[in-house]
Amino acid sequence: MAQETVPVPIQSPAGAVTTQVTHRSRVEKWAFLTPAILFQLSWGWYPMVVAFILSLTDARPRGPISFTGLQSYQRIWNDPLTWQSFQVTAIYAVMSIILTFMIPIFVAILLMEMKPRTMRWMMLLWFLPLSGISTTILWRYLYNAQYGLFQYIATDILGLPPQPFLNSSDQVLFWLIFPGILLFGPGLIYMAGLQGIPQSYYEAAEVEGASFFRKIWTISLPRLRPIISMTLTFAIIGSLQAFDWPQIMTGGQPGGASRTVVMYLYSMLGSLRYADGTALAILLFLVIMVITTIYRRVFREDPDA
Amino acid sequence: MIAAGVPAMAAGSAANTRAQNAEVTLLIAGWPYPPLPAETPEGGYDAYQQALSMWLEQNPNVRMESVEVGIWDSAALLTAIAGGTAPAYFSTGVIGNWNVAGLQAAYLQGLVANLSEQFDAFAIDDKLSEIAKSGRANYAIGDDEYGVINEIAPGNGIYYRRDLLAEAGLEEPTVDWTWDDVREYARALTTDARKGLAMQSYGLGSWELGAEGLGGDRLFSRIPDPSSSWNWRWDYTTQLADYEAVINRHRAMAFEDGSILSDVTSSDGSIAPQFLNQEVAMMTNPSQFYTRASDPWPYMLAQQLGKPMEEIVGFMSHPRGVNGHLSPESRVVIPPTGMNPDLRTEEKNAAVSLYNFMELEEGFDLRRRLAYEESGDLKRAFEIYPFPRAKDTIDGVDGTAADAWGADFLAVLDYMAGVISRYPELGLFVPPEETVGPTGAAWDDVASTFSFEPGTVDIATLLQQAQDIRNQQAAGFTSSVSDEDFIAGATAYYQAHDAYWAEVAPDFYENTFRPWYESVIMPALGM
Repeated sequence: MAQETVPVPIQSPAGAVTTQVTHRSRVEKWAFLTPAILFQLSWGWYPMVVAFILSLTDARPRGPISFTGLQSYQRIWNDPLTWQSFQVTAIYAVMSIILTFMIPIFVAILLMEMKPRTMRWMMLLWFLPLSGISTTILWRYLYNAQYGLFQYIATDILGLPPQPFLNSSDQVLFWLIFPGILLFGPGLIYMAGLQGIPQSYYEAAEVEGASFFRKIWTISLPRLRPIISMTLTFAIIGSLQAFDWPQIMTGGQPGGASRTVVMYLYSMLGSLRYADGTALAILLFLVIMVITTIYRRVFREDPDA
Repeated sequence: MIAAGVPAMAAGSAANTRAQNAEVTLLIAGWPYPPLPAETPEGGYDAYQQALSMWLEQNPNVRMESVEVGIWDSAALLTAIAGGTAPAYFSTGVIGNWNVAGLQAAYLQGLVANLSEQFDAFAIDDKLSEIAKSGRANYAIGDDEYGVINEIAPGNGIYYRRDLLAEAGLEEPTVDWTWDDVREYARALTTDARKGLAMQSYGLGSWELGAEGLGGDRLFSRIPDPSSSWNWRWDYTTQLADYEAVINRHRAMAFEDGSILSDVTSSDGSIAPQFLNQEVAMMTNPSQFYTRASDPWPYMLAQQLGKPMEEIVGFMSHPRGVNGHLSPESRVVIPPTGMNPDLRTEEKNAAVSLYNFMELEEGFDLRRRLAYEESGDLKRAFEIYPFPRAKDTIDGVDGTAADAWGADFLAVLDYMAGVISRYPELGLFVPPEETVGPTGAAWDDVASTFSFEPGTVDIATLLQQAQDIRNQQAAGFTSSVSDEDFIAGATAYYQAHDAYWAEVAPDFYENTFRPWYESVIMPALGM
């Protein structure tokens, strides 16, 4: 049976309290940490370092490679489509966060006000077993500009002129993000967080005369702050790396209006331009690092701050 | 009879091409020759399995094992090739992006085995059909061969409903039809329940502008420029009037006539069911689907309607350009089967021996004969036609491809193979590049805008933008081909075009090609 790793306080002759972590507990600590560290080094840091090195060469899967310096970086820096893809990615990320991250917070709060039975039925929708491929086929049908269900709703029910949906460079990003709104995003995590807030807080606020929105602002949101902070970090990183859905649905079209950075990078790899694709990946990594660092400094998790 | 998978060698042949006694294991990722099942199925082996077991009996030193490798996923396949775990066979198009420049770059980068020795040993070239050899740029660089041919895609074109054309009082198309004709057909065939034409999302850029030699990397759009670092520049603005005519016609079909069923998600696989479900009367798709009896394509539509396929579905090569240019999209396309570059010589011998048996010699005859005997349907015997091999008949099967698919369809294939496939291929003249160069994304972007963006589009501005982006991207690349070799190759390439157009399209040659050739190409190459 392992000894506890809780430090043992020792009273020194002068009265100050010091701690001594036992040797065995130190060994245990490293025994548990080592696999995780090795995993992170092998699958996280090592590939990243190798990728950076490859971006400075004429990388290829086989055969000798030569050092080319910053040639790939220069090439992608001077490529107008690189900056177009960053612009698309930024717009996609902002829209995605607002629509699929922020909205679920308020939806979760409202759901908590419903009867438990109603809430369970609502939650059932989000656990429907839809495979990736069937979802794609479904949404392609829904968005079809000629016979899709959404077009029927727009023209026959709402009386609007025919809508282009995915065929319009102005609308394509919204419609790519739209399914995410319906899927409730991290709403279940918010609901779990809200359930952890003591009811007495709300009762006390009601006694004080707080309105519904006042309670949300002063109790629900601050208590959700740690969860929001964590999930927003992942949302930022995830949306800046958007690939699967726009790649399958539109391939970056029309007019490149839905081509994200990762999609452009992927197209380079498909053209055997490994060094250029890797350089673009490094550039994207740096951008995500900067944004995430700024966000973490600005956003404090302490609900009492 | 081939003993041990290797034919008798002439005296003086290299000893290392023999593999009679070497133990060989071929790793197969489910394609194109799946290993035999561990246990014999209840009804016995099917036609393919019977042929394979015959070859294995002839080659007792060879074992076949199944491996799990995503050979249709380029990232997975590249990883396997780089890591030395690739299977024996894979389709080179997956890593070569399905175009000649990409394929040749993959060959130069050593991603695919060199099969020149095996081509000689098995006399592969002597057994291939002329149509197969017309696509040599897909599987060879100079005298070096890098792939074998399992299937021929004889070219893209347009499928149409013969019965609906007849109902509408329309004549069937001929090889000289144009996209103006297609517009008329599509308009006449459009009803409330049906559109005239289904087209892929890239249809305008590939089929319609391709018919005129415009856009992308086509004849009038990619100009030799030996003074630049990449040797090529792009020109999408000189023939602005021609671009506008084609684009405006397409947009009229889409937004005014309402005769096109297409959107940004339309792919080969999505429009075929639309044809099958009778949502459209015509569709653009490769001709090889006409001769597939086992996919949900035209054959199944005819079965659905309970009528012979020849009565229901017709096929025609892509329309010519209004200027008389022949659409190169109807050329033969050969997605070669490549082999693992890490295969030892005896493994390559065994792999090519299996291919030779299954596709060029007795194994092919056996499979097709058994399929015919099982079904009684000549179409099953002549499925996926034309064959890669020169021999056009099947031993033991009384009938021809014309009996199976109809003389009309074969006449179109003959035209596509005999005329269109002689369209000079750049890869046969100019030495290949080690890198592919700028992607075609800038062109794809404007083409999709022209196709789908509602309202007014500024064609001139968008074409200028695509041109500027591609040339700006090209400035970041340096060609691996010397100026001397490039000029020599490009000169031969355009001289081939000069001879070709003078023969097959005299009006186009006199009115369009020759003036352009003299004013743009010859000065660029110092001719």
